[in-house]
Amino acid sequence: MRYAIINLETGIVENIIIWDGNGTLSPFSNDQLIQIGENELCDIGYTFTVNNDPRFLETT
Amino acid sequence: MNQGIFGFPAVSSNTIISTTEIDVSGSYRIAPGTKRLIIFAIGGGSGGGAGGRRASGVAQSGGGGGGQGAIVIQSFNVEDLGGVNTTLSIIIGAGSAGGIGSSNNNGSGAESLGITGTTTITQTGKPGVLISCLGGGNGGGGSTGTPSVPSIKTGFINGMLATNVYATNTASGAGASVTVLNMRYCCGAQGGGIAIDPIQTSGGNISVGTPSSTSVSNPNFASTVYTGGKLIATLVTPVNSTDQVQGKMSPGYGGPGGGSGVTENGQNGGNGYRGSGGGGGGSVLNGFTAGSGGAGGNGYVCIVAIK
Repeated sequence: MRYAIINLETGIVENIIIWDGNGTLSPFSNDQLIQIGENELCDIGYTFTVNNDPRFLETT
Repeated sequence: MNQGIFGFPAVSSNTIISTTEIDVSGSYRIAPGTKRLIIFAIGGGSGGGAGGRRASGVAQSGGGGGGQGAIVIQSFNVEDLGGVNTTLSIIIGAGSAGGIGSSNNNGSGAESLGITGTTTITQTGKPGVLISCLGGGNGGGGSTGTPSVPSIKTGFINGMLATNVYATNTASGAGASVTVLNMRYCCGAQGGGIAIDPIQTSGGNISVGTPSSTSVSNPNFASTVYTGGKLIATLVTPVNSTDQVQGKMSPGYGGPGGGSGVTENGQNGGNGYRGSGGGGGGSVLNGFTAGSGGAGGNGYVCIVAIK
């Protein structure tokens, strides 16, 4: 499954990775890891906001 | 006499304790008895560019192949990594999707979608990054010119710079093939274009080197590993490159290109595998749907533990 890694200080997506979602993934906290679908729009550099979440349509 | 700043280790044997292949992010614990690790890592591959769509009599290119992720191969003494039982955090960068084939008349194909993921390895609990492999550059969309080639990504093989190499795309006619001379050549092949005199052409092949080139590759392969797609004569549908790799501790091969269509829709490019690029989509004449680029392969890590 694809996950976005979010920088919690800036809200910016820093990487798109492959992960099974089980347990934890060092060195990241679980609230930094947001699952995204295969066809969902999300990219490195996009800004993630909780209230205006998916799928990271907002760009920097 | 200088005894070595880092305290050089005693000579280790070459007995392999384990070989671990990792294609999903997670962790790796260095097993007791391990003296040395050899690590192969590659970033996510990029999808291929899509084919374009133009009127008859207008020359156009097929979508360009996607770029492969940067490669790192490096040997580490285990004590430099914190000793046995140290845990490494492995982050596998995602490959990107191919560009969507043009469905508008007189339109160019889209380049591959998004930015590819970076594959990283860190020592758990320690600052800094041990290995970082950037994802591949985007494949360019088919147009009335030559599609752009992916941006160059540079890795390291045993500490030496190792720059990715891409095929030279063509401006019209059959798609450019990729001749794999070593593992830095795992980009996708170009999709088929259409010349002024419109005939359907084939997508680029993925081939290995010949006796006329200096190359190193898996000896088990025929000269053409994956044949580019074509809608002419005997139909060939581009396959995804998921059933073969270049060897042990290697990336996958790039995806072959899709064939162009004059009287029918263009073919999609084949997907890449293990950090390789996807093939470009085939272009078409107005009224038909151009081929989409194949997806890039996700990143990959292989760790060999030696005692």
